Amino acid sequence: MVELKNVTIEYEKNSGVFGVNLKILKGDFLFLSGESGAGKSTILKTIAFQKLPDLGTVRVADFTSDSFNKLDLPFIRRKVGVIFYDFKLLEEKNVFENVALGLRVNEVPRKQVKMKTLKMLSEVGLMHHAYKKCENLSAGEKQKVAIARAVVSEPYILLADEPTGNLDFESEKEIMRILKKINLRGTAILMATHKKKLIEENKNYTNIQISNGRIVD
Amino acid sequence: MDFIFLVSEAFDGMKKAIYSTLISISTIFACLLLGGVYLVLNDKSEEFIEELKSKISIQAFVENTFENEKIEDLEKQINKVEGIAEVKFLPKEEALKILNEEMNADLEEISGYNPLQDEFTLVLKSEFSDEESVSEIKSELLKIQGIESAEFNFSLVSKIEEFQNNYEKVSLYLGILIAVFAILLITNTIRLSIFARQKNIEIMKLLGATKTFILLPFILEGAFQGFLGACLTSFMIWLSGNYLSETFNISFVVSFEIYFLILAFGLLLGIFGSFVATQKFLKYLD
Repeated sequence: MVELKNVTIEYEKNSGVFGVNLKILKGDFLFLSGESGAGKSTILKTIAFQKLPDLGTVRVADFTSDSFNKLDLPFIRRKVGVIFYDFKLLEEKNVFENVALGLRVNEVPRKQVKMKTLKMLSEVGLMHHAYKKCENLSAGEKQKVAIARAVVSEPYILLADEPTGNLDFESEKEIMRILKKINLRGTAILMATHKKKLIEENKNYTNIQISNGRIVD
Repeated sequence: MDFIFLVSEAFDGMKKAIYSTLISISTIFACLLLGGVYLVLNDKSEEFIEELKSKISIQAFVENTFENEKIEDLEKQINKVEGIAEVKFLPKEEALKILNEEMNADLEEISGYNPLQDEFTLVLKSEFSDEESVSEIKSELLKIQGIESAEFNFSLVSKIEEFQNNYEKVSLYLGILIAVFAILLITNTIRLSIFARQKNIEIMKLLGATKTFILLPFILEGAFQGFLGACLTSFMIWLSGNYLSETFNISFVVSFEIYFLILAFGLLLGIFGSFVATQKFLKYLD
């Protein structure tokens, strides 16, 4: 379970997030919507323990910000997959290497790395590009690699920060299809977006709207 | 931990920062070569000094009135003096013969008598070749009845000792200077390598990599650079040894211990240099 209890992070006066309460369970798919600067990325960073709350508590599985120890950070991040609008891939490495990195940092045995990576590539439809350098892929394909890398180690939750921000309509549809497929396997997904159309097209999923750092009921 | 992956990351890092890596390896090579030559010289100079010391001898001259029948007893008494390794007796007749041959003349005929004395040449044990011990041996010899005088080359002993002392001091300072220089260069190269891979590190952090996992490739990179520099140095010393042996027809065999020391020191320098470089970077990983 991921839980934010009365979380406040203040950057400057009236900037940040204030008294945020949020509970995400296994298998949830939530949108986090709002204008730029509303506080979407801050909430994602808080769940990834990239930012600790000034007030309140964040809990990811067995880890809480109240008893936070720096040494736990790698292990917290293994529970939280993250994807970004700018993909954050190792461009000079091939698709396989990028996805396998998600397992290698988790210290998965070498034999399993190959098997799990190829399986993941097959799931996101990139098997035929396995040994292609990422710099030669299209934006949609790059995002698929980023998703595969983030979920290959089976995290509890996938945080997606504007994952379709750089993509055309067709690629956006494809990415949404993959995210839903991953969600069906039990991985919770929290997707920050400012695209109203995307939320309307997926009305069956909960949308948490945020404005000026506060969740709007 | 996937060691093969970490090693390939280390090589990848060297490939990415190929120019600074090459400069670093070349500098390690140059530094270790200086250090290696110092070790070889130290090893060989010790051999040389030992050889010189083994040649330090005292000439003890027998009184002209001393009875020939008692020479054997006299030799026994000399042998009892502490620090003497070997005693050789040279009768004055024999000494004259040698001198006559050297000078191509008959000295006895010229002076009307044999001007030389019976003498003992005393070879000293190497641990008794310092100036103080030699003086003590001399005074012990002069106490023996029948020994008129004893002579040795003071200046040679002093010079050897002075040379050895100075050499040790210079070698020590030079060695420290070389090591510091090498560490600074490796540290700088690894730092460049870290900066070149900042994006990779950021991504690894996000994926949940531990500090050890992130930093180990850099430590390995330093170790490889040190090892490669040491291999080049060893090869160059081996090559030079062969060249000297063939050109000057002398035995110039560099001992295995020296090659081992160069390799160990190269590795140590590399690991220490990269360790220093990564320490400053640790804060960034939190």
